[in-house]
Amino acid sequence: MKRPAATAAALLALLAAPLFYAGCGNAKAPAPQLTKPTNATECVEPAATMRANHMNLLRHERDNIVREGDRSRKYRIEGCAQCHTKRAEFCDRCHDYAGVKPECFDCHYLP
Amino acid sequence: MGGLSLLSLVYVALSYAAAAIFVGGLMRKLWGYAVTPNPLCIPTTPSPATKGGVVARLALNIVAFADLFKGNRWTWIGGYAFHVILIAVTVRHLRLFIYPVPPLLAEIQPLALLIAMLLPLPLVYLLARRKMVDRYAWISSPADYGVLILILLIALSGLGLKFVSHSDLVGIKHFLLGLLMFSPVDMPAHPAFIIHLTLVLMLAVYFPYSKLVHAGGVFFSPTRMMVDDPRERRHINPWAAK
Amino acid sequence: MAKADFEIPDIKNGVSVPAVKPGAMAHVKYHPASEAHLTKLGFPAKRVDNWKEVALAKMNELMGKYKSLSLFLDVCVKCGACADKCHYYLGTGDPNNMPVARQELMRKVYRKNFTLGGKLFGGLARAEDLTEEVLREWMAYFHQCSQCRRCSVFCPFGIDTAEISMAAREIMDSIGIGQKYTLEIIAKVHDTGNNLGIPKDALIGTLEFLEEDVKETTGVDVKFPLDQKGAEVMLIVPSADFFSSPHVDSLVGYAKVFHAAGISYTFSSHASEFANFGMFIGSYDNTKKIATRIADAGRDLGVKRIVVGECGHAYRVAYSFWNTLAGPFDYLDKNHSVPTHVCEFTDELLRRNALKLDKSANDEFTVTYHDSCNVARASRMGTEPGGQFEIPRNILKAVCNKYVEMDPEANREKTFCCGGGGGLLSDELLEVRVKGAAPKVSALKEVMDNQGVNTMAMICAICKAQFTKVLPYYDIPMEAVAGVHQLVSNAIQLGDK
Repeated sequence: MKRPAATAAALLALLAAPLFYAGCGNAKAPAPQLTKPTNATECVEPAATMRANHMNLLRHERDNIVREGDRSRKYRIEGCAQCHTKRAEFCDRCHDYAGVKPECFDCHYLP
Repeated sequence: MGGLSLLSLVYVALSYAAAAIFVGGLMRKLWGYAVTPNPLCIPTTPSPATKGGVVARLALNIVAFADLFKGNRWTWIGGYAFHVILIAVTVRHLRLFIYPVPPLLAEIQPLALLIAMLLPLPLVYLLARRKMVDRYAWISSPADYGVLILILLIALSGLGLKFVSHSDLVGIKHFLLGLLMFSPVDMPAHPAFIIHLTLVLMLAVYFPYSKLVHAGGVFFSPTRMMVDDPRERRHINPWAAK
Repeated sequence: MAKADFEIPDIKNGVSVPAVKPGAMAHVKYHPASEAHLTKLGFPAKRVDNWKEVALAKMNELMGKYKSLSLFLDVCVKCGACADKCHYYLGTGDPNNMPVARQELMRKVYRKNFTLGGKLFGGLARAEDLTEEVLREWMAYFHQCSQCRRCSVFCPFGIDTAEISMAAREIMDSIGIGQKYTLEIIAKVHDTGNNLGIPKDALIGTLEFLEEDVKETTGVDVKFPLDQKGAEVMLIVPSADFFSSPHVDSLVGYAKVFHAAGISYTFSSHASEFANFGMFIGSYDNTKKIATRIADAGRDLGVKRIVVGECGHAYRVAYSFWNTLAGPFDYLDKNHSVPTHVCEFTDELLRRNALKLDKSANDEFTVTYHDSCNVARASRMGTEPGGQFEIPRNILKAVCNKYVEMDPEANREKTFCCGGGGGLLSDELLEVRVKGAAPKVSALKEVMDNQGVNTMAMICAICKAQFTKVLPYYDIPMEAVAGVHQLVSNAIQLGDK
């Protein structure tokens, strides 16, 4: 290795790259900004549960509703749309933030 | 850091400590390899006689594990699968460390998931290999099994987070970005995530002080990196009096 | 079949990977070096009292001096790709003869004394102190490595056990325990200029005898000049070529090639040895001293080129290390490689059609070629990688009508060592040598049985000595061993005879 210093610097830069990408400094870590519903204060489940499990509720209920035709269920995507009226200002914010591409909207249209 | 929960405080501290040990320890090791001289020209021949040839061979070795392929196909299958899957695992996790997520990265997530979820398979295979062949059993120490088991536990806890007990992914990313930007925020107090993170920190601390440094060390191996031209170009030994 | 008080490996159906037989070769002991030889080479006369501290300090020093050692002690992942590649493991089944396990003998001491993990969790990492017991393992198993580099071919990180065993021997020498065979020979080469301790008068006598002998058989005045100032070429050969059989037949071959080429050459009495055992014991200083002696001899004789004879490890030192250790060779003609292997020399003449050959002179031989380990994996001939395989074969095909290849899995880059290299060519290590030869002998036997081969040509003095000794244990006559230039010698046509 003829230039150990240069090699080391290159390695260090490589390791530190995510820091620079994230914008090292005093900035606060970005978090998604959501437009919250105005017509209700409570969701069908506590917010923490919804954050972690909304996809499970929706997928599970899809089977009950779409495949078995039971439309009397508590969790329905139309139900979501009652309060969360703007997909781009609610759903997409977190999905984009975390790099998640849900399949819901391949079929369902939310304004 | 005011306003953090006790759990978050502890894990923020542990994370920074582990990252420092990982980066510092690895740099120290690789720095050591970089500055330790090669007194003599010792490529394993036949070997390329030009720098370009050496780089090409190294690339083949990194991309395809060519030497291991020559050495043992059964080990190659397990080792190669493991490392390729690790790339997919990295892709799956990169989206949690980068903001905003580049579109391509978001696009390949489903494919990466398909591959990444296979991680336990090569690990179990590599573990069984060590147990079942008498030669490998003889050379395997508790540490050799231990690191495979540690990675297996990391994989299982990660898969648990994905398929069994979802946590607040947005909260996790917020926590990770906070760490990266040195303005920590609370972490989601989700048991599977805490276990997963704890195991990863253990691996990070273990890394520079173990055989895992092969990941960087492979770039320094004199039998592979030296150009086979001792007659054409005089190789000078840095520590010989001259 | 030669008799032995140990079991000869059964090679009837080839050599398969044996089951692990712990301790199978633990009993092997080399003869210890004398105080005189240790002292002469700059080592303590006998084991120092604080040997453990001295050994660890030496280990630390070597890790700072050799990237290979410091890196190889860390990066092995124990994948086991090398485990079934060593001829000594294949021949003995002793697990400490698996390259990875051989390295572990040093690595466990390294972990215990130089790594945090090893200090904290010794047992889990299999870290171990350098105890009397571990030292005994070092003495046994670092002398069951011929430094042939076969393991390094298959290692994903290029780890070369030779680097480890050289360091281990250097460490052992530095605490005052050395191997008689190598140290005695190095002492001799420093004293007399050759490994056998042949004085100048005896050398003159031998060369005169050879001149007369060749004159008698060919009618041609082929010269064997010694110390001839102003000759074009200095020819450096392993000293075994002067006295051993079949080595000497190759020596005659070199002389005939020079005669036919019309190029003046000379041997040197100051440096009458090509072999360099300094490398076997990992001693940089002794390797350098031997190499420098040769460089000085060439300068004193005023030659333009240095051509080297058939010798494996020696060619490694010459090809890879001479320029570093004893260079720059300013006094030589820049148009020729330093050194030039005698096979390169002969090959070039063949390409120019400068040699008259009668292939039928070798018709009684069906020839195969054994790639000597250090020529194959630690050097090159010609300008292209792999020239070390092609050039000797070109020569053989030019001088023999019947040439047959051995299994490429046991030859070329993957060649099995003869079993006697690296300082193991000593009688007390015969069991190691015979068993370690099994994989190569098996490849030879295959072409002997199936393709009528009766001669194995090679270009290494140690290979020749080893095979003439061990082949009879496998019911193969020692006459099967030949030098490449021995066959050249048979075929070459001199003058108008």
